[in-house]
Amino acid sequence: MSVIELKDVWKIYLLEKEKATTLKEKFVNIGKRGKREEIIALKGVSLNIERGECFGVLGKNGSGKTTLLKIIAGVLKPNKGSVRVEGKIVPILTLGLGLQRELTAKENVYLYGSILGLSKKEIDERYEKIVKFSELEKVMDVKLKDFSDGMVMRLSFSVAFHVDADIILIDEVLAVGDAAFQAKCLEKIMELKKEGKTVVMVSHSPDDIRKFCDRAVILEKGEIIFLDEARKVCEKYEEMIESERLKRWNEEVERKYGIKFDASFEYPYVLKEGEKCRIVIEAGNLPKLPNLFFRGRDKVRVFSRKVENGKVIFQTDSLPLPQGEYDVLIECNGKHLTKEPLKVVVKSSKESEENRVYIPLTSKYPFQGLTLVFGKTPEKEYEEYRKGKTLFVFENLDSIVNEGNACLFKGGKTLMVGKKEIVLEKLKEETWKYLAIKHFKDILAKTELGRSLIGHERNY
Amino acid sequence: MLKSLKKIYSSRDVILRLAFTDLKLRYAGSYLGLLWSLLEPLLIILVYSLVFPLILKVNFFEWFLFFICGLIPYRYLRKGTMELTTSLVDYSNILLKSKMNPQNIIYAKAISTSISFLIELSIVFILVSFFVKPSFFIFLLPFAVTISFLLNLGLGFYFSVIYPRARDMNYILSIVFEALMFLTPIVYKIDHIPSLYRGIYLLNPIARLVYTYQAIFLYSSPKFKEYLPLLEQIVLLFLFSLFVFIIGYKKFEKEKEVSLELI
Repeated sequence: MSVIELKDVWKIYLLEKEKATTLKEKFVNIGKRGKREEIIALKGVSLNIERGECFGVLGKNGSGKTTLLKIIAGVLKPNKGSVRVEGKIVPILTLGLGLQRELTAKENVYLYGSILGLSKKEIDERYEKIVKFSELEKVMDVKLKDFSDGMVMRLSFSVAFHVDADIILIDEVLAVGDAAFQAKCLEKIMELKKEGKTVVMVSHSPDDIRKFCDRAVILEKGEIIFLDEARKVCEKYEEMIESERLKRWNEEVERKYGIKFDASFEYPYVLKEGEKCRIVIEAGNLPKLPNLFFRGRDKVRVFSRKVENGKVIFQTDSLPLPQGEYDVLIECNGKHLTKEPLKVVVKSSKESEENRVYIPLTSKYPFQGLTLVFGKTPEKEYEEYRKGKTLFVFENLDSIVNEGNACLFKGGKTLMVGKKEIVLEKLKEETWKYLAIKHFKDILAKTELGRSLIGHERNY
Repeated sequence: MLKSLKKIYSSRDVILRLAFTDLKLRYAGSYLGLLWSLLEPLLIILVYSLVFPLILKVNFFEWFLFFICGLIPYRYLRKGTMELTTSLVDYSNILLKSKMNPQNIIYAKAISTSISFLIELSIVFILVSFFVKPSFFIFLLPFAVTISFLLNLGLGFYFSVIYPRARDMNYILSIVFEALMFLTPIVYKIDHIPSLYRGIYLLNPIARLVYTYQAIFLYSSPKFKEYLPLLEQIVLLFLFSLFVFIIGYKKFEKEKEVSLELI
């Protein structure tokens, strides 16, 4: 049964652009009135929150989170729509509402308690519990001005948690406390939930929401854009935030070099491992086939790129990069197209953990046509790989993060199977051997032992 | 009306707590604490007392007693109204972030200023009773205080909802109160007003209120002249203050929501 029900709630603030509140200002601005700006804080929000639920509200500054909370709390009235709330509400909209620095902690407990609607008798009854919960027994006679923010938070939460409300509203204030007290709050919230109390929490930090909430919602510009399990919502939100961070960076680079960069999965510049991906870079005067690199922990070169109408296009059905942040580098004639790299982030998805990255070795390595595959069953995966395309080269083999087995193939034949480390070791050894032979061929040819080594090279 | 009285009763704890806090904070960190609320008017009185008897050429003690009996109630009205006017803005942090009824703030503030007033008034009483034997009319004092309190609340309710919209209100009020002081018989007696204008002069209810306080304290003094029947004044002023209170209260209830969005 839902205890909070919002139906098509609108909230509009009227902001005077230049607020004239003294007579002189009004006099100066005579005739200039009507310059009011409408800010729509909530655009038709509908929401049901169930009894005993911990509900999170995520969103950037100015997305309407606090307005939503204030409307639920009844501090603000919606311009349109209906709000139904069952039971007693305690809004914790700010840290230590109305607390006075010049009063002692004890006096502040009474002050805050009464502001939250407790009578003196009720506070008397609860005082011991409140103090015990806050763990501030020794300093209750100290003036609040000598308290740290964390201590103030402890005090105000302890009071708020003991009000016996049916619904508790928390507006991004939990973050101030230390880890131990946060854990205690979590416990208390869980306890309250068991008692059938409802908690609504607002935050711009997905970590808090993940820790405390069952369900959550993302608000953007006053609208609900996503409502689901807290875990999923947080993931989404993190992607959104990351996307925006990268967007700022990339747009700067784009402007500086007059290029266009487009890489999207769901949010711009946030890609998913093992999912579809399309990257388009538009720049005038591109050489025939510029080199495209992803530089993260590894520097990965992309081979399956095309150039069409001055656009470099890279497209794949299954992005084989492990999660992390990558610089996208475009190299034309040995020079980077942009001094500052373009950036993308690759997120892991649950499904992609099963899939393995194929690492075919091509021209960068001397072993043309040699393929190295990682995975639980590399041989089977190689079969599938052969149906696909050659995509990536890791320049530094040490940094390959995939666990499990590896398999070295040549022309469809298995050369070596085994633990990743062993196969890599073998591969490197062979590489050095090959390079040595190649460079010192003339010298080697003079000895018999050398000649036998050269013969060995031809095996590849 | 009955409903709002019930509301006040149910939130009495928070009102009293806020009043107590306000009173305590007023003197927080000062060495003399609550004493200042007495010392301050006494010092002002001292200055006035030195200057005005020279100008008006009257007996110092006689004038001094008369003066404090008028000044203290007048100061209460001025200070109370001024403080209530800005109270919604002063307490905006609480009002914007909790469901508290804004009336509670007004009541709390009114109570805290009234407590200061009562302390001052008791000092006045002690001072006066050294020189003038208290008359029977001293029993009217609670009524006079009630009138002051209602007047204070009414004006406070009225101006507190205007102030968020026009922050000039407190400047205007301070000038008005400054001017009004010389239209009330505080530094001079009513008989200094030519009898021709006295009728107009007494249209000022504040003048009547101040006179009432003076009469209550100094009735048995041989120098005191009764211009107006005291009981009748009390009744009239009570009705007037009730009227002001109701006007102010209605204005407050009507406009509080708009004002709260502006604080």
